[in-house]
Amino acid sequence: MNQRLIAAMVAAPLVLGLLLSAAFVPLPYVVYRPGLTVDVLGAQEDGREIVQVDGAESYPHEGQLRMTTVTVTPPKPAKVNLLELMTAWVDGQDAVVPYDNVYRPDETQEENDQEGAAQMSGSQNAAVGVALTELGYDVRAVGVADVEPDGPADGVLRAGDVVTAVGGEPTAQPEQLIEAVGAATPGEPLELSVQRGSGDRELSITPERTDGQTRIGISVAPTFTRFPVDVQVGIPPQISGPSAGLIFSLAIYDTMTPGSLVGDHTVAGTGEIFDDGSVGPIGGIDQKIAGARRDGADLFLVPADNCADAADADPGDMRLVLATTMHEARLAIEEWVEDPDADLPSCEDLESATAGAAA
Amino acid sequence: MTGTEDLLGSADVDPALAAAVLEIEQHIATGGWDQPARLYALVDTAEMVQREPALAAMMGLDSPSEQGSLTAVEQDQLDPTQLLEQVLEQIEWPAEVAGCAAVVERLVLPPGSDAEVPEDPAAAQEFARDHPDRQEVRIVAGATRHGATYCALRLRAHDEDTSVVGGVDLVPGLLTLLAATLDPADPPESPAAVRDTDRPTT
Repeated sequence: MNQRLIAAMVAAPLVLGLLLSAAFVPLPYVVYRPGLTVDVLGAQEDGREIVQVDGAESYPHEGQLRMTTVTVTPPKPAKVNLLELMTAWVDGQDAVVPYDNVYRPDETQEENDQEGAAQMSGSQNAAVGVALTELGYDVRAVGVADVEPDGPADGVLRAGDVVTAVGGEPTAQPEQLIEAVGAATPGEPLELSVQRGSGDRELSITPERTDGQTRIGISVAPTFTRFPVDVQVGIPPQISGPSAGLIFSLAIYDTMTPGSLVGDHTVAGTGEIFDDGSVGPIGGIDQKIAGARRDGADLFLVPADNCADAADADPGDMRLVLATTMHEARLAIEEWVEDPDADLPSCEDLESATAGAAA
Repeated sequence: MTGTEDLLGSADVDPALAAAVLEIEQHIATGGWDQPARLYALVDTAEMVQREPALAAMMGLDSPSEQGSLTAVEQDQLDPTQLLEQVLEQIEWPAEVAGCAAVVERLVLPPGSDAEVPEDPAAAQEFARDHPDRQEVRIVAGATRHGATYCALRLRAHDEDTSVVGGVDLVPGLLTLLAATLDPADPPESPAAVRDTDRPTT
């Protein structure tokens, strides 16, 4: 036996015995894991209902409407190490996402918390507005996003103003305002009903004609008037982000209508809600589906733009239902409570629609 | 995550390097675990066809589908008494080599245990070997002269092709060592390393 072979035999156990140098170097990834889910129809820690309505009737209900969350590796300095990353990768429920897709390079935990809290509060405001609209309240209006310098509205309107009527005609949607202004006579004063802060005012603006269009020089976006009913959603402060908007709007709607929207079932879901009632995509759909399934949900609402990712998830017996708007989601839930085997909107509808369009 | 074909950080991936690394990974995987470290030179396939036409034809490398790919050439068995990381510090590749790749099996520990790892290297190895939650991982890492990196990792506890994790930056330390064997801007200390070649600078 020569020297070299002896050395090889001695060294063999070392092949496996070596700790990867720098195995604890943080890698530029974050891990998404299923987080907690909260029944928004349930009670807060102090025993009060999560959804608090002041100024209108609220009703008892059965069943559960669960918002879903994802646990995400926090921003700097903590990133994942190699084994954590690999374990998450091979796990069926966790996801590994490049750090830069989730956080800005210099983002701190504090900034992330603040942003999340702002998104949570924005999502609640939108959810209240959408729910009240669904209940028949006239709360939709037109927000002033920007005022053109030296335009007709300069010095009269401000960004953040809420226009509820133009020339006496209610403006529930931006198109109505644009139409009303476009139909006005250039050079003749136009009356606008505006909510600013806590005050209401009637303002007069004289449209002018430029580029073949009658304009007052503002850009607009859908928004809500001050709400006639005070609705509060009491969610623990450690839960942040915009992704519970759809579930909030459904829970508020359910609380303010007699009977139970979800019957005695457990409905879960996710999705940002926009002022026009449409549902926007969110992150971590797989983990939210896993969390909802773990917590006993029978039906899960999926935003349309998350359908591709949701196709990877394993919902078990839980039914995945497509949610394009809060209104559609409400109808789908009602139909399903009536008949669990009902034909409901699903992600497959989108696929066949795309296939049909391509054919 | 179920559909593991989509690998991490796909935006910055050099497809030729990733393909070569994954090919090596698949090849090594058929040989099982407890294998010694290996080192590969990555050669531009077209150049190889020009240099060794007969060999290339035999391997099917002259087909148009191989255009732009890298061919892995295994190097002589490494001295098993030397740590791969130390070997890499002593290597410099000739100009014909477009990149290199290494295969090594290592232990990794869960996050949180780093505070308990002894500072002394020998004690650290022993600690890792005895750690109840240690995992064995096989790393295939590659780098090119153009600055691209790619690695593919497999856990022994999840020894399936679908559980292989790929990414450009999963083992930064090893990738840096591999890149240094190719990088003229960072020549090893040996004077022989300074050579007049047409290597692109990065």
